[in-house]
Amino acid sequence: MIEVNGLTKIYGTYPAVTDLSFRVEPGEVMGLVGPNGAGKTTTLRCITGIIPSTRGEVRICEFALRNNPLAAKRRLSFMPDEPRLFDYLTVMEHLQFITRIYGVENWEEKVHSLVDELDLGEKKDSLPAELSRGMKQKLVIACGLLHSPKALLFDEPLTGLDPIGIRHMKSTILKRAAEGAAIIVSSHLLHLVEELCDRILILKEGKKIIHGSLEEISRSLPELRGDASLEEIFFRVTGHSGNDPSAR
Amino acid sequence: MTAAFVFYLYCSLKNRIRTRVQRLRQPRYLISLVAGLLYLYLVFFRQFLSRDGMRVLRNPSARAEPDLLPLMETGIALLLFGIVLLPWIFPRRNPGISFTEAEIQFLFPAPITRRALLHFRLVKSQLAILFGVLISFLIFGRGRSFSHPFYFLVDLWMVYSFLAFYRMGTALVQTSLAEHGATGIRRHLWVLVLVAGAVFSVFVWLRWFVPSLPPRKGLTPESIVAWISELARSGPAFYILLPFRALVRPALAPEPVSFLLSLIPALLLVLLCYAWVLRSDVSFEEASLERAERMARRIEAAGKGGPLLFAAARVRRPPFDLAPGGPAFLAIFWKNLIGAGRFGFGRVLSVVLIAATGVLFSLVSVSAPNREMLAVVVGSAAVGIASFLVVFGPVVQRDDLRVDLQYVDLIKTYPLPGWAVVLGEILTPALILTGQQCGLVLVALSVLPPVDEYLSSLYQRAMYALGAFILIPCLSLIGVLIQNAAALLVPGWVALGKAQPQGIEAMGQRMITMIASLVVLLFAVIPGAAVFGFAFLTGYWLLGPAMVPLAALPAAGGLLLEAAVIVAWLGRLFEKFDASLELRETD
Repeated sequence: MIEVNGLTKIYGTYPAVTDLSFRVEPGEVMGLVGPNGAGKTTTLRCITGIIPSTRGEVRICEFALRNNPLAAKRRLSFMPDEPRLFDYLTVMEHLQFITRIYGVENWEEKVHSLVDELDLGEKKDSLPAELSRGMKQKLVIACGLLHSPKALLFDEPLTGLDPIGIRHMKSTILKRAAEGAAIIVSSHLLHLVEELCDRILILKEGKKIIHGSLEEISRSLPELRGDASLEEIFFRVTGHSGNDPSAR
Repeated sequence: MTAAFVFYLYCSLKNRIRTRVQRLRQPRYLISLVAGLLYLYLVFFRQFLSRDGMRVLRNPSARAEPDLLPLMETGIALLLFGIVLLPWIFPRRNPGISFTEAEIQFLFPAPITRRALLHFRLVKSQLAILFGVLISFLIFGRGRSFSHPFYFLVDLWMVYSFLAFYRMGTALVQTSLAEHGATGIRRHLWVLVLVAGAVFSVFVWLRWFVPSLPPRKGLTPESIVAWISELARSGPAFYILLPFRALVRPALAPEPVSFLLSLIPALLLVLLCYAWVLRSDVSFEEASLERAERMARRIEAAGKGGPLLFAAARVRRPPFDLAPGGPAFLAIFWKNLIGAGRFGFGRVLSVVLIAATGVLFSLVSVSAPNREMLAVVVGSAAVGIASFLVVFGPVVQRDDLRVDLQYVDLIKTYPLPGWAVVLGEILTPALILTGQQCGLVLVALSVLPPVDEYLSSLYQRAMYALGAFILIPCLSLIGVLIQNAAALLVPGWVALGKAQPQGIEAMGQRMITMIASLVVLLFAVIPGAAVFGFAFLTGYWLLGPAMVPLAALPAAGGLLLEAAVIVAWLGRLFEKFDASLELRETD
């Protein structure tokens, strides 16, 4: 479970995120969307403890990130938009390294199962420089899933993936949700969010402007049809026209 | 076509300078620039601008010191010969001719001949060469070594151009050999024969023609100079060094006529190399493309504050097997040790091993009086390098937070307390430095001859070694911790990653952090040094040399305590480290 209460992050005098609160239950996938600069990545980075929040509280599986960061981080996994890998560790060494860092039990079984699931077997002795974008992404996922996290955060998970990679990523997200993990997916790809997520949170200028299931949101906006798509909702609530400029 | 190339080079240079100037709006770059300029003035320009310097410039003959000229000619010629042989001893996979990604995208498909592309690249390399000439002139043009600064300046340009063209030519030949095998060997037979001839001549020279060293008693600078001159003219050395002497002579010419005359053979050598590169029919496009893409990835990653990407390294076995359970900080140590091994440490180790083998071979093979002299030189050099490493080793050896702060997004998500991250990070450079320094101390204590009552017995040497082995790890830890503290406290002032930024302001920045860290290092080791001194002086009359390791023990304890306190403090700093604020302006 991921619980965020009054999260605020201020860079100097610029408020990147203001008083944000939400909750993601086990087995739930929440979509985090918003225009560029809305504060999505800052929110994810605060939740994962990469950067400290200015105010507010983050709890991962009941453990407060501020007071009990190690217990919270043990249950958490973050997949950034750009695969961040150590240039000098091979695929297998990355997994060994993460095993030790998180103290993973039954690691051999888990490593082999993930390597098989993500088709990393042939590349297990390769360095990141020798891997394609998709393979790097797979390695990041393998590292992120090795310790069986209860809370997963994905930032633009489909960037740079081919159709096979996209399908793989979607099934990975849904499989972990089915296993009971609380998941946040941040993306500009509204159709992906619509397809994967149970609930949606739209941010604008660091503030929550709407939160709920697609159905709930549609109901709360009477000017839209009942079956309005997320794209229509997005343009409506963010104040953009959504018109195609080339059509002028 | 030439006009387009000139336009491109002019605009690139102009915009590069403009970007650097704009960067000065940030105080740290401005302060660093002032520090860098001050350093340049104090070390280089002051002498040129002083009354004496101006007099020397107006009256060039006042600069010459004729006695030293033959020695300089020989020394530089030997150095050039070494540089020329180096790429054949340590061949690197390098396209020789490198283009940026944009150049490849726009120039390769353009209707430009291959020769025009090569011309463009060779001319472009002149920008870097001219900058190198200017810097070298400021560094080496001081004093009264050369007859006239202009001769030196011109000769520097010729030597640097020769080396640049030679490097390109060598790389092209090596690429061709790798690609074409036997056909490549036939195509470049004359080059290979020349290289083999040079290597064989060196062997013959070293085996049969090296003159005996002057006797240690009555050794004077004159006798050493005479020996070096004789060495460089003995046997095949005379002929091998001839072209390199020709390259050096213009700088050492005493007056205009001899300068102009000596210019002819030097210029011919440069043109010969230029023609060699132009006539090579090796395909450079593919290798250039690969290199350009790699460079672009590095620049992109660095621009995003992300990890620098390095050339793909050879995958070797990790230094030890990482067990799945146990203290997590060892995982970071293990990771950094792998990084150090795959990106340079292994290469450094092989060079050290080759050098050590060479020294041992020399010690065994030379005659007795030469052996003692060689032992003094080797031992003193080892002590000197070990001392240098205590002070500057932590600055150079940076497989710690200085590299890993680029991965801070990743590391901050790990369930590790800050102290464990810091401890894991500092262990690799501390271990490498400890190994290097202990090795050097061992070399020094093994070869140095006795001085009065010191080093007169094996027991004494063993006690000194033991004392050094106790203190060196602690000093290395403290030195590395200070550098990591700077990275966490003022990340904007510390170059993160393995690459070093360029420019005067970067130099100033490095100087400021270097001086600050040296002052901190000094204060950090004072308590340990005081403890050691007190224990040693009070116990030496009773225990003799055994007091060296005994006094080292409490000193090491004090230093370790200091290190533990710093690790705990840095751990807290790391936990509070806000990458979004601290690394925002780092470029």
